[in-house]
Amino acid sequence: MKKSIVAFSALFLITILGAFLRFYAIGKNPPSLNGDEVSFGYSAYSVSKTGRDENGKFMPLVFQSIGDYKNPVPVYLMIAPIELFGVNNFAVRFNNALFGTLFIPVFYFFLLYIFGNKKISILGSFFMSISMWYVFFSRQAYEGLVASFFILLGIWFFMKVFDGKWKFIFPSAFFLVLTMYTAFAPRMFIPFFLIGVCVLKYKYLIRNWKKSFTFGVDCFVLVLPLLYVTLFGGAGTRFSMVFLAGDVDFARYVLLRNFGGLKDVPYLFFFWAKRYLNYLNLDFWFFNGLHMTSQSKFGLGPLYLYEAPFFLLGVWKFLKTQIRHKGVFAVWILAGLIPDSITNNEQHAGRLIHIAPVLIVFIILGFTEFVHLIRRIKGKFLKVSLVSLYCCFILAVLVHAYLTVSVHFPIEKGETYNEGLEEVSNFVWHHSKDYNEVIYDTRHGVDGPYIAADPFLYLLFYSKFDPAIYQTIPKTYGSHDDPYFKFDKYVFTYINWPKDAKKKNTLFVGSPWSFPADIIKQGKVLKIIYLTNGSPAYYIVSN
Amino acid sequence: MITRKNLVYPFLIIVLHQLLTVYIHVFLFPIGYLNQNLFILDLLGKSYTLSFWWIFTLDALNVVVFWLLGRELFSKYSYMPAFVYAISPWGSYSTSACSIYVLYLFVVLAFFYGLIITKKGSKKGMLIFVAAFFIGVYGSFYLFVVFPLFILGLYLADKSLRKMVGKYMLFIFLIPTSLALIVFANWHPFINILSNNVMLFSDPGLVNVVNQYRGESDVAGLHLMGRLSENRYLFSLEFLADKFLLHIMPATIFTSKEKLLGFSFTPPIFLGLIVPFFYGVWVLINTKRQLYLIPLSFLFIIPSLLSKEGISLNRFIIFLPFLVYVLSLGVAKLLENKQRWLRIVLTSTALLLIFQILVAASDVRTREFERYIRYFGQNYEIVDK
Repeated sequence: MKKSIVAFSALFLITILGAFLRFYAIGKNPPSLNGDEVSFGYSAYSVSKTGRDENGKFMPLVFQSIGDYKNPVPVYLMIAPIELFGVNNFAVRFNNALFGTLFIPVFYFFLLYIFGNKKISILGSFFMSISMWYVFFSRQAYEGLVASFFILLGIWFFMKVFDGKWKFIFPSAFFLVLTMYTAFAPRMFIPFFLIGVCVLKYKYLIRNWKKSFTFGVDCFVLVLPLLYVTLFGGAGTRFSMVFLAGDVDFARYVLLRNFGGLKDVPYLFFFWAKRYLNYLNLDFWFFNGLHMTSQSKFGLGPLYLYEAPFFLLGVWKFLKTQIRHKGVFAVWILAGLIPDSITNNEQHAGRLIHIAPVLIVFIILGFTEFVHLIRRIKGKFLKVSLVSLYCCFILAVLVHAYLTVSVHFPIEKGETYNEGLEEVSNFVWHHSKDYNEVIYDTRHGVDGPYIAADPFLYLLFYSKFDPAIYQTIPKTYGSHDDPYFKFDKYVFTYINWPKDAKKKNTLFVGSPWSFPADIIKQGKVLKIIYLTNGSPAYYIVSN
Repeated sequence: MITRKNLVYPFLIIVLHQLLTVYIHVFLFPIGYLNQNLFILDLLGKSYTLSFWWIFTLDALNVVVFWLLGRELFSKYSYMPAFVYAISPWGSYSTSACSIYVLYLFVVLAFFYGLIITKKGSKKGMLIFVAAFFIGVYGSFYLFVVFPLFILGLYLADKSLRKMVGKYMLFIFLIPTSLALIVFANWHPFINILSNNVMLFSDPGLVNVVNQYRGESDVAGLHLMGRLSENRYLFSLEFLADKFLLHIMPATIFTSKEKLLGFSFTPPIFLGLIVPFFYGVWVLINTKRQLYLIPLSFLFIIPSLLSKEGISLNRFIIFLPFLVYVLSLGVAKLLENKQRWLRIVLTSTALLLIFQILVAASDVRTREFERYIRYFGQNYEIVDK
């Protein structure tokens, strides 16, 4: 009884710590909502007000966005905070912080189920609570984190099914399929995971074929709508966009031309093998995998550097010792790497977050082994020295993590998060009534206009543009080669200053690259919006 | 006992390996390494370039030494190390590009062979060991550093070797000492060699990172925190640790993540052998015999660790004997094991190996030369930095 109270008090404190790390200044760091967050936010606002998305579709299962299709669960989940807190950064990010916090106690009970040991479970929830991987993706509306929460529940219930608790068949199928409606990486992970487990436990499944069949039918029925929109509703375009065959390196340096179909499949296989094995590279996991700074070597990885020895020891201990549902864990991690490895982008910690619980299990196993090894050291002085030295190292790593998150990240990555567009949108919305037309340049960037953004989404979101009006208002679209989009008096295109300068009573928004170098001297600049690092991001110019 | 019958398999393995090397050489000619010279000649301001035929012969001898090592290390599957080396493109690519590291690999192999048979009581072994040590130390700047450190490590870790090496210690250390005297007499050339070979910290990126981070922390008023956690000592250590870990990752060895000769899509060792490799590591650690050899073997990573590039596969090849040993151990244990699932693994390994050899052969023929042109232009020279 007393032990339980201590454990629950510890869990409560750890959850509070985790909540603080996830919720503190959530609207300001990351420094701005990124394009996906704004898109989710306005879709949720639109559905909450009209029951339709911004394109006028009633309660869709797939949300058409700029260049791709978004998953429904994050949008529908976002409606509640948007209603509660209004249309703002906090509301958009609230769900992720909440799920990120809820993950901590859920993970505790999951570990308790696996190990039956409160100390190990507390340790695991502590590592989860301070995990930069989780903290980072809990502080932005990243759908992969919410999906990883459902995956944990789904796999946990799935394990219970294998332990003979048949009432968990439906909850397991429900959460596993729900993840497929939540994010793209799990959509690919779940089938691979289920196939892997079927191969591993085929004898058990055959022995209990009625229950297995029920599970299969549950999954199939639940996944049917998704299957339909993937095949006929456009949701499958995302896969064709990001598939490995379109990788630039593959085309440029392996094939020396574009992917040519079946005859290039052997090369694609070995290229994929390279990508897959690359996940065993520890520099991604411990040095720079989160890409929070522009410094390629010394950023932050999904796992802290001080966890590296625990991790390696943990992998060893995992292989050596008998752990409940060990095979499921193995399939979880091996199948979990597949979705990211078959995409044509660089390694992305977010697309791997669904395997984080397994890695934290390795870390706690390694940590207990590490403590065991330290205890075995005979000389007290040596023991104390080693522990002190390692504690200093842990402190240095944590301080570096704090500096990275609070100082370096906003300075170095503000631009990639479209920092400044909130300020721009508010300014434009309040001044646009004085102008006939407002022209936005869709390209920006301090070093060059190489970043393409969707400023109209920011304008819609921050101006709380009435979704009912937006859905029906006439819009004009350009082509792929000539990007152009217009609604109301707002035009989103490339600014061509020699030509556009002739337009009167027009407000222009663009990066310094959109205007001539002497535009400030001409006295036409109404406002300059700066990034956290002090570089001018946007000029608002009146003509 | 070596009989004529025993020699058939090694002979076939050598032929197989040489065919692979010639095949690659035909399609990659005239691409080759530039500015390679023996350490002692560099010190004395002389130059001698090993011709392709020297390298080609040394490569064949490498297969022979691998076979001899196999006889000492694996009773039943003595051909395995030679076979694993023969079908690995790493040695063939190095030979094809006329890399001096083929010579160093030979020296390292001879060094180990000498050591192993000396341990078994052969006097001939000590002769081979000392000769390899001599050639290595005088021939390569890196082996000048690595060999003495390795012997020192063995001396401290292995009691039986301590006794044996101890007898010849004076003689062994006379070799690097005599070279050290030559170094003192040619101090300026040595400094030049040092700066050309040790480029680990010559990248200004490290200093830039520290400066940028510290500047940002200072502006935020967090000077002390920046100083504590973002200093060049800590980052240098992290950089070294990161670079070291990169060397021992499977992607480096079994995929084209690090490119052979700087441009190839062919991996150093074919992917099909990855499962036997993991199995070999598993067996090696579980048997817990002579585990000290693992950290000692990491000394042979030093040359590549000191390079400016992330990993220099050209220099890293001297680590190959350890990889071949682990691989051979894995294959041998898989063959010995009669479990059904291990049989499946073995069959998959063989099929994947054959498949990849065919794909690589086609790739070498059709794309490798063009790939080189894309990476480096048309000077056909590779510089190892």
